[in-house]
Amino acid sequence: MRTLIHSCTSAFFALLLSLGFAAAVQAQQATPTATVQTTVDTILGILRKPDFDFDTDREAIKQEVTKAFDATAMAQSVLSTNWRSATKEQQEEFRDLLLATIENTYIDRIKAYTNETVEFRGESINNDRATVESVVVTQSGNVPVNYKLRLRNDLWYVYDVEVENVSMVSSYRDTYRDVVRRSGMDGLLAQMRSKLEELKASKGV
Amino acid sequence: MNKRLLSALLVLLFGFATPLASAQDDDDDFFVFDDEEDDASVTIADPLEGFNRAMFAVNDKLYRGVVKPIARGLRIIPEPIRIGADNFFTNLRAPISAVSALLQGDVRNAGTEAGRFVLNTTVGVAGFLDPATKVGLIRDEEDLGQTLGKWGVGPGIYLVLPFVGSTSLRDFPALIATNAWNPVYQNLHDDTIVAINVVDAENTLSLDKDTYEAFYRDALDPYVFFRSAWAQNRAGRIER
Repeated sequence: MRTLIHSCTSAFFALLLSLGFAAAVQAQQATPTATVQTTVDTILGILRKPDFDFDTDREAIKQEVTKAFDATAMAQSVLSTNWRSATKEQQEEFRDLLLATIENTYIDRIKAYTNETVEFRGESINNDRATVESVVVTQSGNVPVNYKLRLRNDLWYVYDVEVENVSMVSSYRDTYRDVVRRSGMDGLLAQMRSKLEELKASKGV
Repeated sequence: MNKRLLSALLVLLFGFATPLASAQDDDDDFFVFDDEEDDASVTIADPLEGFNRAMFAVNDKLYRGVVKPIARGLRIIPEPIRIGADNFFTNLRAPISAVSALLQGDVRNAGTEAGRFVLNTTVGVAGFLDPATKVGLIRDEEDLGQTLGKWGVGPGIYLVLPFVGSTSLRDFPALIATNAWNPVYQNLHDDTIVAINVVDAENTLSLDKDTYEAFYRDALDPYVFFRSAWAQNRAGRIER
């Protein structure tokens, strides 16, 4: 059971990654760390407002996240080889569904986690890629969170977040690969659509 | 636990446990896979998927029916006390963590984990407090599964076992050895060691905020999601 709990705990910290969908880069040439930090600070700022209300402020958080993310890069990365065999329409729908899925899973859960502090530990840049290392300090220990960024038009955008070594992109990729193999691209899109509707209905959103 | 039997079992298991070649996607004309750093996707062989899926379903029932309700009940205990208990259980594992680090040739971390145990057991009141972190001895817990991994032993195949949850042909025997060979547990009965692990797990879960439920609910295929997360987490811990 310990290992199950451990996976769960790792997975649970994955929700913290929503704090980091970085890149509200106003200033050009911001470093990858500055890029991530700006977004994390902005989102934590929203969460810690005295009059914070999840339903009304959710949209603001979502906008920060969307702004910070290179959605296409992420969608490509998740679909891997299946991206190329998909049609343009399938690619676009997939990208939109993926964003909605991430929003559902991660943004929905962050309201319980506002007292954590985030410390940035360093970055490494390799041409147009960068990794920003951070640690979320919780009462029962430190959780390593790494952000993967890509440089596009002189701005850094996040395309993956790794929490406790668990990459969001890899987790989705592993799950979706199986679905595409069994049911094809249209099958995947249909399943993603119905999952989102099911979640919406169960949450009464 | 009969240690000689265990050793024999380990040798037997790892005699044929082969390192797993990761299934790599041969993509190079779009952005993510033009970099070999991203190409290393972690996968784990799962020839027993049918059995594992059945056990995953059993564990889900156990979790929702028994394990989680108990953890929820524990929440009547004030959180600072449960965090203290979490520190206590972590501290019990520090000696075998130090041994594991040493076996990996990581003398620095072995020293850190041993130092943590000494400081937290004494100044930290039997491990309930964590003064070691405050003086810069940061926890980096190791176990014998990670040690085997460092030695080049692959996970073999993925296993889901009742109560244990996600594990592998490498990590399950190693988990038993990690418990059986922990210096702190030497005079304890097997039942007591199991009880320690159960209470630790329930306590950990009481501090968690319904993570399992959320990811289970949101994933298209929860089984694959948790398998992937587990494999990535273990691979990352071994690499670190």
